Amino acid sequence: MAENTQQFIAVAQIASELHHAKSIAIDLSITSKNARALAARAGTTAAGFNEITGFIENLANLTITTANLVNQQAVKLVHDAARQFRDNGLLRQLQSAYQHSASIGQQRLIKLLRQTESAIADAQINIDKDMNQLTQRIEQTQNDLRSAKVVTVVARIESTRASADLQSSLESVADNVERSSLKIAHHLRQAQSFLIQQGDVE
Amino acid sequence: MKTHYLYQSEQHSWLFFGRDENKKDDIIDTNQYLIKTKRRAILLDPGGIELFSQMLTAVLQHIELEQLTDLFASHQDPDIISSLGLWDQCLDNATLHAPWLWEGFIRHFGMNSIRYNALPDSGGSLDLNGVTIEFIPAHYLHSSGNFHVYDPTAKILMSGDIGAALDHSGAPIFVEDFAQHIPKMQYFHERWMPSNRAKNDWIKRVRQLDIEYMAPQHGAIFKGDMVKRFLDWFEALEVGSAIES
Repeated sequence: MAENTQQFIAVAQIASELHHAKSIAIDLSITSKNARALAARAGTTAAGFNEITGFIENLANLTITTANLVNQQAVKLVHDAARQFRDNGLLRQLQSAYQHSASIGQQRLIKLLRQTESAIADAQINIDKDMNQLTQRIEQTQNDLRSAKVVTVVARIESTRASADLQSSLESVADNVERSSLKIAHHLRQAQSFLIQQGDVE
Repeated sequence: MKTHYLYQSEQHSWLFFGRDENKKDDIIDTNQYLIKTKRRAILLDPGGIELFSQMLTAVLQHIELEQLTDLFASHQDPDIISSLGLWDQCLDNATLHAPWLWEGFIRHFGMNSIRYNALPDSGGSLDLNGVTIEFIPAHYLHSSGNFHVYDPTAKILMSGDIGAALDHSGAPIFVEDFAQHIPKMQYFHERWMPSNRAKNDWIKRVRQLDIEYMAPQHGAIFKGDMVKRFLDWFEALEVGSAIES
């Protein structure tokens, strides 16, 4: 498969992973709203829980925002990479035409050949820049996810302080946060591995 | 790619491009035509992606790229116009004349800079730097939105898939023996052409044109008396053969 083809397939795969992460983040956002209601019912017996719900909500929102941004960027990247793929195809055709042309045809082709080469080079600079931004966004979300582990532990401790009737619900919230953050982390790792593979191809 | 002048005058010329020796065996051989005037040129049925570099090479032997201001697609098939996306990247100021019916479909081949002139069902004409060419309706022959190009000065009818023959790339450019040519075009017309009514309507209109060359998109070109022989033969032919009677 041509390098350029791999490039836009990789971008589409990254977008797909982020789409999965976003679906989980939407569930997480619902969890955080439930957690807020539970925290209100628990009152002072699980005061720390109230703080945690804010964090869960932020984490969910951050993941959703990142997924949306990555998706927008991925659409642009796929478009640019597809355009570059077509330009590469055109360049091969122009090179072939140049090779088979007499001098008058070659003179007429030179300008077009240079324009196409330059368009391909410019597109690659843009694609590389967008890829770097994509990598940074995914890394940032991964960093934020690391604190989800701490949140889960704190949530479990706080749940033990709550009254017996709320304990299992609060534990369930903690479980949910843990499960969701693990799943999101998995999809981000997958997205990152596509980025690394893409980097290896280049 | 063979090149042959079909017509030359002070004002304009008709060029034939075809019989490409480097064509892959499993794609159908196609004929392309270029009408060039001093300042402008139109490429008729520019061909598929597979043919683009050969066509570009051939065209640039005769004109500057900037001179190619117009393209024509008789219909939407890939062997007619799938190279459009590549031409689109090469031409800054060109118009594609093609059936209105296929605009939304043909644009899938990639059109960013080329303009689309949607030909109405009734046809139309184009003034190419003082040379008038006519877009003659040929709907359902074979495509449901289909046109041919007629040049009354050169007396040439570019007849798209009508008169097409499935022949090898070394075949002569002109029909030399009509009887021997029939087997090369019979199945094509019986199977690809769907409507006897459309066929007869087209023949009736075309018989009124003064034609010296009938130039199809595949196979040999009909010249002089061969044009009339083709029309007589086609008139007697039952088409739409895939439907059992």
